[in-house]
Amino acid sequence: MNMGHLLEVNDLVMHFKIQDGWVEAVDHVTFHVDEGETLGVVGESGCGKTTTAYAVTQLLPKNAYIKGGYIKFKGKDLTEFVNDDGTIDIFNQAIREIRWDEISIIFQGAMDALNPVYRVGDQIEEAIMAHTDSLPGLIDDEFREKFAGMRVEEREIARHRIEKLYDIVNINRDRIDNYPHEYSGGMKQRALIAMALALRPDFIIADEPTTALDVITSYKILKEIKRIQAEHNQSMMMISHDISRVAEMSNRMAVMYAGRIAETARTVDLFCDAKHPYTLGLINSIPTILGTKEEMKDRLKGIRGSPPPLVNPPKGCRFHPRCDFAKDKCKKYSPKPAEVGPDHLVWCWKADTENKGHEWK
Amino acid sequence: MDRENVVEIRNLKMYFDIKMGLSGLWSKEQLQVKAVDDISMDIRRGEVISLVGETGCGKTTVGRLILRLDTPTAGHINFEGADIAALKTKQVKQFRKKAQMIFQDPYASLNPRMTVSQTVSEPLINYGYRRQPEIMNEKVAKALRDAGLRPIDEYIERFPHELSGGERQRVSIARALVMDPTFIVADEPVSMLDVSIRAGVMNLMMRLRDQYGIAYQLITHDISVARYMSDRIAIMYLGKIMELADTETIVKRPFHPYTRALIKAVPIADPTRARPDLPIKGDIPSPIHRPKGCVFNTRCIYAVDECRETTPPLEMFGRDHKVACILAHRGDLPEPEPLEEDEACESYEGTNDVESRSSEAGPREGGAP
Ligand SMILES: Nc1ncnc2c1ncn2[C@@H]1O[C@H](COP(=O)(O)OP(=O)(O)OP(=O)(O)O)[C@@H](O)[C@H]1O
Ligand SMILES: Nc1ncnc2c1ncn2[C@@H]1O[C@H](COP(=O)(O)OP(=O)(O)O)[C@@H](O)[C@H]1O
Ligand code: SF4
Ligand code: SF4
Ligand SMILES: [Mg+2]
Ligand SMILES: [Mg+2]
Repeated sequence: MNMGHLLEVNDLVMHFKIQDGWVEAVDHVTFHVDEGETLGVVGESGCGKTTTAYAVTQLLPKNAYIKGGYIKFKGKDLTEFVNDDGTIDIFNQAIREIRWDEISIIFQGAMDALNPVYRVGDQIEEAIMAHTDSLPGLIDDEFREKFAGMRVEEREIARHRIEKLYDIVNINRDRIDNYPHEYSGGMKQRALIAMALALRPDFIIADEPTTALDVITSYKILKEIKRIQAEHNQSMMMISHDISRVAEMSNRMAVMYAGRIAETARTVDLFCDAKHPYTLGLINSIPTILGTKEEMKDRLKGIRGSPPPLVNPPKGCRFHPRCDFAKDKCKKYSPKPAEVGPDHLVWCWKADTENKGHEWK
Repeated sequence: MDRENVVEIRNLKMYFDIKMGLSGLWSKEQLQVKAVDDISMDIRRGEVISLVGETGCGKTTVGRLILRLDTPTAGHINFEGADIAALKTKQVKQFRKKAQMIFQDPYASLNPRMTVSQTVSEPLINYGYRRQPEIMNEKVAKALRDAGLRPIDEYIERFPHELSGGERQRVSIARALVMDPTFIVADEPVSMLDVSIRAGVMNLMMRLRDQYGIAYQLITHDISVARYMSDRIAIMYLGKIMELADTETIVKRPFHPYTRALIKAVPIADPTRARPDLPIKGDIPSPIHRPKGCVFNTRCIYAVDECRETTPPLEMFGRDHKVACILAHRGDLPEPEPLEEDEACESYEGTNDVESRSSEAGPREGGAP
């Protein structure tokens, strides 16, 4: 199975250096994404979701240090280029080529990522033109027909691609040359999805792609993403703090807590057979519109306390100050992953103990 | 009416004039945003009523008008029987005590230089409690305890940056509670909070309602939150109420096409479920150029010619159920689809088919150098 992993992140440790020490934002993180699959990543804000995604593309700020583990994309080790002290060589050509071409990101809060003084179409064009060697791959039958026998400029290929992209994300082609302020929030988000899809990447990272949007707009955009993804057999990592939205979109999920993975499993297993107390807490935090109101009132408990700062996080299991099942062992030792089912790993001493057939007491 | 009303809203309108850069210089008519356009509704004593709708539909504006933070273009608001526009100075003071607000952003709504106890006692000082420090401290302590900030000694000397988001929102709640309000406008009180702490804040607000009979107007774009917390729900679209009914009717037997779309769009944590097409088209029109007739007609999949000419009023549709839709009242809308049961995991059979277990699913030992 390891053979087929499109992306494999293994025991990755990436900390930020700050004045008072280190922010342990990604700490022994292990997960993988297979071809054609969507991995949903959930967890409260500040638990390291965005940082993990950026680590995958090595799109990290100067104070980021990779201290261990590896990231393999299509078998290629991306951490090979990390400097000896753990800093990242941001100008590394190998990584720059992969970025956008093979892996693209829909950024969190991306609506503000569009530059207000340039036309939206020009901004997408610029992104495409930065990878001119990918241009021939973007020529399709429609393009050949349209320009049969003519000399075409590279820009025209990009333009044609943008028109197709606008069809895909459902924005009228005559809006390509508008400025960002002429778009609604939903349209801006769609335009950014178009940009992320521009070079037909194999792998898309979507960081809270619709968090700022209304339910209806969000629903439509996610449906669109899902359709496009299925059509082109693209893989995706979708990050959100909203566990129900992620569940709708993903085949597999990873729950993150305080810079670490708490549980990974196929989405159904994660929902119906969650083993980590944090996962259960998240599931019992969301109101739904299904079922009776009484059922919901019994279920909706939330999780007491709040996530710890990641400078000097709690020792042992980082969730122990909030966990109703915590015992001494949890306060001293970080849990080892327990394999409680196929492709279902849980980083929790209780789950580990019970999985071995013992009572947790 | 079975219960007395705290708030009565009649034909409320709020139009904002907007300034249109250069092009505005040449346009003859003054452009307006009709943020609230002829709304009438009652808020009953001790009830939680939600305003639900997409961004920009006018929810916050309604809340601000009820609290007298803005002056409406037209219409009336009665609070406990008195027209709030006609209150005398002294009555205004009394009104400001009884009607409180909790804001969306607990970060922005607290003064960063004030401790928890200063924040919560500030409104009391404005009401002359400075000369009765024992009573004041007693009230502050009670409000903090009621808001779940216990033990209070751990909190009173802290500044906002020393509190988590959930705790900050509890401080805002305590600050509202300390005045013994009968009515609170809560504008997206949990949407900025992490999911895990939302439940605590929602449960707290409901407990306070049960305990003190405080009525809430809850403003939210999340219909699941509205369902969990409220007795009744009003669905808003472009400054108008489309449907108003008790919560279960809105969720289970909605009769406005917009309500139906909103409910279908709610994420459901069931990966096995297919995503149906939404029964709605297009995007929200600009609030400056609102469609004629029924404001929803450009997005309605049922719209007929008449919808583009006649504006349907919000009319009684059933017991405690009002709908503003021509076709619904004519009996020409299909029956609502029954809401699915919450059975995501009922047919779940577990994953212990050892056959498909991968021997290499685990992480490699000693991956870290
Ligand atoms: N002071 C103002 N001047 C001009 N227009 C305004 C003003 N306040 C609100 N509006 C407009 O009125 C409409 C309703 O705004 P309101 O803030 O009530 O919406 P809302 O339903 O609370 O939205 P959200 O969910 O985004 O908070 C919007 O089109 C908004 O741009
Ligand atoms: N450049 C940085 N320097 C220091 N700390 C950072 C930096 N970027 C993020 N962090 C910290 O890393 C942690 C994880 O952040 P993030 O990945 O954004 O979380 P999430 O996406 O799950 O909300 C947080 O504690 C955040 O404050
Ligand atoms: S390891 Fe212990 S503290 Fe951590 S989640 Fe499991 S039971 Fe709770
Ligand atoms: S009045 Fe017409 S356009 Fe408006 S909601 Fe009803 S059917 Fe749709
Ligand atoms: Mg993030
Ligand atoms: Mg608002």
